[in-house]
Amino acid sequence: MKNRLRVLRAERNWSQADLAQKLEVSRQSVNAIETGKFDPSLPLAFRLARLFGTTIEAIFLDEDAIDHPTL
Amino acid sequence: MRTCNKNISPLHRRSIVPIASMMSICGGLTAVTPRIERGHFSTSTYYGIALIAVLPIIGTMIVIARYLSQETDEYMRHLVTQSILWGFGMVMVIDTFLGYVVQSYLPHTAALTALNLEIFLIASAIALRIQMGRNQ
Repeated sequence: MKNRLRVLRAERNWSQADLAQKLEVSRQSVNAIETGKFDPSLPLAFRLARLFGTTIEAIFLDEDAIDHPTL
Repeated sequence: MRTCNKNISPLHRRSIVPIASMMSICGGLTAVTPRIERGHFSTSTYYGIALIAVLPIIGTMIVIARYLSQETDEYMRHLVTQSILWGFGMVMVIDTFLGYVVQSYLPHTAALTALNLEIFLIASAIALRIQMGRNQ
């Protein structure tokens, strides 16, 4: 799943390690989410949204919704 | 359960140390078992030895289950779960292959299934390293 995590992180001048520390996960987790290799669970997605002061939809792009808007 | 990493967490350490101990116990049993002569002891003694050989495997499963339930990092949990599946897969592949070879050509050889725990742990550790290496 594509996401804007790298952009949001860069806007705040946070490294992957900084974000990992704030989320209490490993740096590898942040990297895997950023590169789209791993989709976070709903609780972690909510934590990310809270941390960046935005919504989940503003961070993660629902490609299925773009391809099939009626579903 | 990160391997070869100096920055391991207390949870990783709590899991790696007992697993390494189980592996050593299992390795020791594997080395000793072929020296036990067939028909030398009573049947119940052989069953007892077989049960002792199973204990490190049960212990390892308990440690892994405890690790997975206590790991708060869901990505690490995901990687470890995938690595465990690779470990089990490798055990089945090697067991099946060796089973057929032993049955066909070496019927008097000691049970190679005694190496199952070692194969499982080594294959799981390699799979975990590869997965973590891909995501540096």
